Amino acid sequence: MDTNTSNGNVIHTQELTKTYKGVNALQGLNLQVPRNSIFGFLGPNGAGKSTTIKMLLGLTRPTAGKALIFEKDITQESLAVRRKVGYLAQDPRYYEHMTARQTLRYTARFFYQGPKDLIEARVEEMLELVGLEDKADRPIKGFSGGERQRLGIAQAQVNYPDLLILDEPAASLDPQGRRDVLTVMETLRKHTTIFYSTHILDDVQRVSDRVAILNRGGLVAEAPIQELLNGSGSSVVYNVTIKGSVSGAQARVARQPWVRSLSAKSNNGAVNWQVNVSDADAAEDQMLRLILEDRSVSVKSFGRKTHNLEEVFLSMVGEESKK
Amino acid sequence: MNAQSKSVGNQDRILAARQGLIPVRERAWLGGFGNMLRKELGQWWGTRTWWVQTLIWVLILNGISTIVALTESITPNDLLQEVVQTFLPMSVGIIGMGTVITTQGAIVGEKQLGTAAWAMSKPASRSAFILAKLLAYAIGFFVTAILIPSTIFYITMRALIPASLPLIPFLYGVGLVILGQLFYLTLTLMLGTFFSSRGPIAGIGIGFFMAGLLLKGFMPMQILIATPWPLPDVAGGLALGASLPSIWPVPIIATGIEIAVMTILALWRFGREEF
Repeated sequence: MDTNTSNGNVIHTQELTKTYKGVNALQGLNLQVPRNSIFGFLGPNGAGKSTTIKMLLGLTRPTAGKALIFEKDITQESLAVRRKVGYLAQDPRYYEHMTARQTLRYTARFFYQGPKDLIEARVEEMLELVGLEDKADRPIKGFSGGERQRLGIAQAQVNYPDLLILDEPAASLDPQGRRDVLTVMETLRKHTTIFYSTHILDDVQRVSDRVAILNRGGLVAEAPIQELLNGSGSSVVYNVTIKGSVSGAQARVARQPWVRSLSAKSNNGAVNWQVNVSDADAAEDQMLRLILEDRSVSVKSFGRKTHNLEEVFLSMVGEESKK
Repeated sequence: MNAQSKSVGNQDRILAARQGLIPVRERAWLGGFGNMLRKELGQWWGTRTWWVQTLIWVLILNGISTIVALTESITPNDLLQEVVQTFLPMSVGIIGMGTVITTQGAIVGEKQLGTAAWAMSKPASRSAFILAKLLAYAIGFFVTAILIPSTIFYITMRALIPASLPLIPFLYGVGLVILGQLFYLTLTLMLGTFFSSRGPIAGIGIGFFMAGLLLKGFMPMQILIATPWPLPDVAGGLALGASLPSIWPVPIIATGIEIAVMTILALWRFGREEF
């Protein structure tokens, strides 16, 4: 396990930029991935996720900016970086004539020169991990998409990586396979940092502790997942359900400088408010008091709205796309 | 994934296992060379490739020269000259063309399939990737297309023709076959780093070979000696101890320089490849 990272960040990018023939695939990405986190990297197709991953691995060169992995520069010390990293590509490709065992042995030998028995033991362990023991000696050309993905996960871990980079690891798996991948990721959290891109927002919400959302090559948001789900800054919303004569209370609340908008909707004799606030602390402190100044009003429920990741993602990517 | 808890293990076990494994220690520019060379050699010698290649070259090169030896009714010395002048120039030419055909997909195939990107995501250097291919293919062709057919040729001709064929001059001739083969090998690998499909690689490689056959007679000597095209004639002449024009070393030196330049260009271009 590597502990030699500044501020506990395994990946640190600074204005990382990639331009292909005048088109910005990635523009000025600033990203910090904390150690032992499961970091979800989200974005629609063409957002720049795979480009970022390829740059981190030295498969393509940044046009501008820099990135450090374990404090090593990704362009100057790429080989040293790759010694500590396990990588699963979006569409993993291997030598078709090789068997799964030969592929894992070949992968292991990029990292270890011996002893042979320990390398073989590690290969066997990885075959067990992904449930390919019974297909270990068959050529890969006969493997299904799911089996290739499993082999991909095995080869990415063969070197006990300090950082696992997974590009859409569950994209081609059935629900059972997806669940298994997520379980493996959660188990590995103790030993390694996982940086993965995905389209499957349910998976991100389940296992990630930090998320970055990328759109059109730019970073839209980066935060702990709970912070994103709770909303932050201009997107904090409170749901209030009240009964009685609400017009006075509504006017009082709407006048507050920390209230950005208030929408009201009648529902079975009660009124539901959605209050968008700019200062969550002020709202927590004052909103109920302001409503209850009027004794004819009773509050049935009050709470901060929790979003699901899909809402957050669509709203952020949607807003960004309108610009 | 039925054994996650068992196989992931605890941290102590993982660290203990890691401590037992010996990390690879290679210079950065040669990172992964040994592993990739072993894999490339495995593709030659661990599959049927080696005996298929050997069979093809023996049938073509030894078959034709043996037919010449058995059908020509001239004096033994003339016959020996005839078969040597058939075998060595034919070897330089046909092996060169065979090299282009066999090697055209070596780099571009891996780029297209994505296996090159996969290998380069491991601690492997791009120069090691190219050099491992170059060495493995050079060894593969040397053994199957040059060493075995040349040995068979030498033994067969000694048995069939009652005339002396000195070994050392013959080996000089074989050396030029090796040089010609290396020229077409480095040319094809270099083209593989520049192009992303096989068409231009095969077209340029075979086109260059055919241009040699068609233009050799019309080309100014100053240009001709800077190419590998005179190598077949020089190879035959050296093997038979014939008198050669004083400039005969020039195409050898020029071809050697061209091999080095094409290797450097291949390393440079592949180093800039964007996967």
